[in-house]
Amino acid sequence: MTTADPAMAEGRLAAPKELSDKLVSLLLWIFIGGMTVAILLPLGLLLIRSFRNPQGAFVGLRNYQKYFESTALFEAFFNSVFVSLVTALIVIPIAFLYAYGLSRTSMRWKGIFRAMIFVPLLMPGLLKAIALVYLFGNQGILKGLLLGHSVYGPIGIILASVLWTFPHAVLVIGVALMNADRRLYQAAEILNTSSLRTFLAVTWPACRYGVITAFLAVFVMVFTDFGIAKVIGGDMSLLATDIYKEVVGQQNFEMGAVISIILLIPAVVVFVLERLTAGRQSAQITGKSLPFIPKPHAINDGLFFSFCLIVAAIMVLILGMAQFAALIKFWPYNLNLTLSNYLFDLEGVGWENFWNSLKMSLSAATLGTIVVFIGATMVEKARFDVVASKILHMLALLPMAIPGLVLGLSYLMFINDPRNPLEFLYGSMSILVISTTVHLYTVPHLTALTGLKGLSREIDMVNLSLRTPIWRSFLRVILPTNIPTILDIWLYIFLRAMTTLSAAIFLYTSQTKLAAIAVIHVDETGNTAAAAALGMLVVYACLFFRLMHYVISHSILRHFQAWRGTGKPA
Amino acid sequence: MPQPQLAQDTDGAAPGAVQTYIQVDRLSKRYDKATVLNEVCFDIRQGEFICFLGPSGCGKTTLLMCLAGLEQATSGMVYRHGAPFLTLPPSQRDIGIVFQSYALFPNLTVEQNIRFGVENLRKPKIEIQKITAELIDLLSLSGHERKYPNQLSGGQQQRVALARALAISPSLLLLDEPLSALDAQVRIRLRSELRDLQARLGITTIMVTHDQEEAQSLADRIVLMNQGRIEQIGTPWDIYNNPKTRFVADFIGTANLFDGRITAPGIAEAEGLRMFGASGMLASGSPVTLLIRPEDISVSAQKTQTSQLSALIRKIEYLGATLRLHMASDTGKSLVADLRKQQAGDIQLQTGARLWLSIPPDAMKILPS
Repeated sequence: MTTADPAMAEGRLAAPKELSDKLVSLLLWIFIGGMTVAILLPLGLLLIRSFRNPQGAFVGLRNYQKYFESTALFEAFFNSVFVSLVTALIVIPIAFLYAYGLSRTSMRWKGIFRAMIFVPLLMPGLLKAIALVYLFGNQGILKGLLLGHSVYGPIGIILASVLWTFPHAVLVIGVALMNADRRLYQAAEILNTSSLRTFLAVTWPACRYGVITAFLAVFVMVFTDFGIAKVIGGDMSLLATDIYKEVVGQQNFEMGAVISIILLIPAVVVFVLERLTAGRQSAQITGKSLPFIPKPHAINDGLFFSFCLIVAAIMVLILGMAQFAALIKFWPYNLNLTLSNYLFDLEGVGWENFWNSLKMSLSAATLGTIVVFIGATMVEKARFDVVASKILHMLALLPMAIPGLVLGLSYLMFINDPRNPLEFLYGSMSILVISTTVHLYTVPHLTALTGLKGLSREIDMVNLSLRTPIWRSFLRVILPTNIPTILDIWLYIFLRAMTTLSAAIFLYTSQTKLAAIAVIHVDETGNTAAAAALGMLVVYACLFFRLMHYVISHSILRHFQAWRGTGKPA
Repeated sequence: MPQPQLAQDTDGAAPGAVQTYIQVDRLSKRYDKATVLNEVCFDIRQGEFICFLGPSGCGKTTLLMCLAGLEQATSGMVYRHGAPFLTLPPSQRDIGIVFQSYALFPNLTVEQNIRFGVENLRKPKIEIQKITAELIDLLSLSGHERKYPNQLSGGQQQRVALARALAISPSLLLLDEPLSALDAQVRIRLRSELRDLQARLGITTIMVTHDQEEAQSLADRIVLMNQGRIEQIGTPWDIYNNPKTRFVADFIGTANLFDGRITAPGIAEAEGLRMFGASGMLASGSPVTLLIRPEDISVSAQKTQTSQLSALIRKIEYLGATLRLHMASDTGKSLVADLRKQQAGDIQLQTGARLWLSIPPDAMKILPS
């Protein structure tokens, strides 16, 4: 650890350390150790496995050679790129206009439109696909709109992917659009600048990195997603579904590993690009910017209102369709409403899957929030062990580049290895909680860092002079001032854990099967109504915790943390 | 007639009269390319009020941070009562620190903020209570005990920050531009409060500031810095009247500077001025700078025996008790002279008017160029 001290390396005077500094160092290295076991070792094993044959002998690049020689697999790669690209090209302009309407116009109903962004986030991917099938499928009510094309295949995948990635794109672009300094617009106005030129010279430079980030993020999300293609992909093969087929269908772990590595490459490239642009984005923000306040403009406001209304209506339509699908007796012949779909008289599927999901998501959200927040605090508060802090930060960013499916497969290989002392985790709920937490680690980590930066560096310095041990400043100051951040992190992990399945698809057993996985299995039996009903249970739970989050952060927090007030003397 | 001479190391109080508290010895801080502190040396006496003064980027804040233990120096030593100081972690340096940004705990009340440090020392409850109450009283914060920082004005917040720093009875108080964020009036009031408080508690205090007026009104001694080096250390009086370098003369107050050289032993000539009695230590031909403060120039409408220069008035600035004349000499040199109102009475003052200037010999200071 002494070599990791840059103060020594640069020949400065030996830096005197506090007990707190030693504790931070210790925790940092514990976290690094934990992350190594949880990410690097499984991925390393996956990589090694891709160079071996099923008997375990080293075969070099032969597996890769076999992959590139097989046209069917290569076609999957091309298909994956195609749907990802088209989805990104469709969703980014829509998301940009939507986010622009929210932050830069003074249209009505902004609160409602803002809430509507969250609708797709409450729904498992499968449920959106089911709703699309009911709308555009062979018996769909809007089938005519597709002009005879089938929804099963690229159209369905792209439509569902657009719905799924839309909220993420709006949130990323929305943050970039908030990065506006009122004074720049006032200056442009005084200089008599046309609105087009103002947009190109002021608005676009401030948000273009956000748009690029959103584009890349959407591309990777679709490229690595598995669930949508499974339900609505028809016979179109994608990389993600191929991994599943190779591993689950043919028990060919080695080929699964090869495809995983290939799936990982674009994700890593995009991740690196994203980090590079993120650095440039932050350089544009200054602490002294004044917030932008949009002025009323009848025509623009009207146009954006209509646009957002249409988009929001589509969100509601999809959710409504999914709810409708869960309530009708037998689509499309008997449209009477019933609650019997919620009884799940099916073998091995039903409410227990929902409870599993709930249990897993509550655990992952709680465990994840604690781990992420402590980890981020150590990264932020390391005064001396800068190297450890950077390593942990990089490890925390890594999961964003790893598709859930790839992580799941690597966990399966890792945990299945009889030499692994962690083998006892196989088939347990714990492994689902751990893999989900690791899979979702990056965004909460970045959120926590942003929250922690809210306390100035001077406060840390004051604490040093006041001889405050790190644990006391953590409990008395850092934690209380970051409660909204912590609530946001908890909600993010909970919602994603409830609705995603990628990492879990290789790790569940019949005892721990999650609702998101069960929806696929029910759908495969042809009982779409029950699948929709199960998916809707997830929606109800997500909605409930979303509202809880709102109530806690808006009323309860205001009451107990009066210091957050507007600054009016009490 | 007092001899104008090269300013010598006149530190004010007689050495040894008061105990040296902190001794800074060749302290340096370097980054890859930049040198932020360059072999800085000085002593601080027990109970002194020291100001680090200088333009932004001169290293004054870095020096304070090194003393606080919040930044690491690259080389050099600091001693407190003769014992090594830099090897101590910040918590054992026995310091209180106050920042320009107040840096109060936003989620704690005024009272909780003040007692936060004492609680870390695990003192008995009664004592904590007593210290807190005293400080609330001392800094006129009573009535605000239960308020949160964002419910207070800037001046009140800075008082809380000061009380919080003082609560642990530090032996050294470090202030990083504590008054710079405040309105002009609050700043001046808090400035005198700060001076009284420091005198009453007798606590050794170091304040970083870029405001020369603030430094002059508060400090026992000023450490004037530029580009990582100490330009001069001395009392405010000393620094103003006996600047050692051109930089100091220019930075503190307003200065008329004339470039010239020693023309003969004891005689300096510069841009039309001639000065007798220059130090014999400078060889003939050495370049020198002559410093004349605006208030030392007397003006008259007619040429007199003592007149040395004539100049045209370019602009007249009214500064309350004084008038400031901006002038151009016949050689084109810009000059500034301050006149008290009474002196101005019998002279026709208007832009374009010609005036004769005389400068008493002892008002001219010679600085090495």
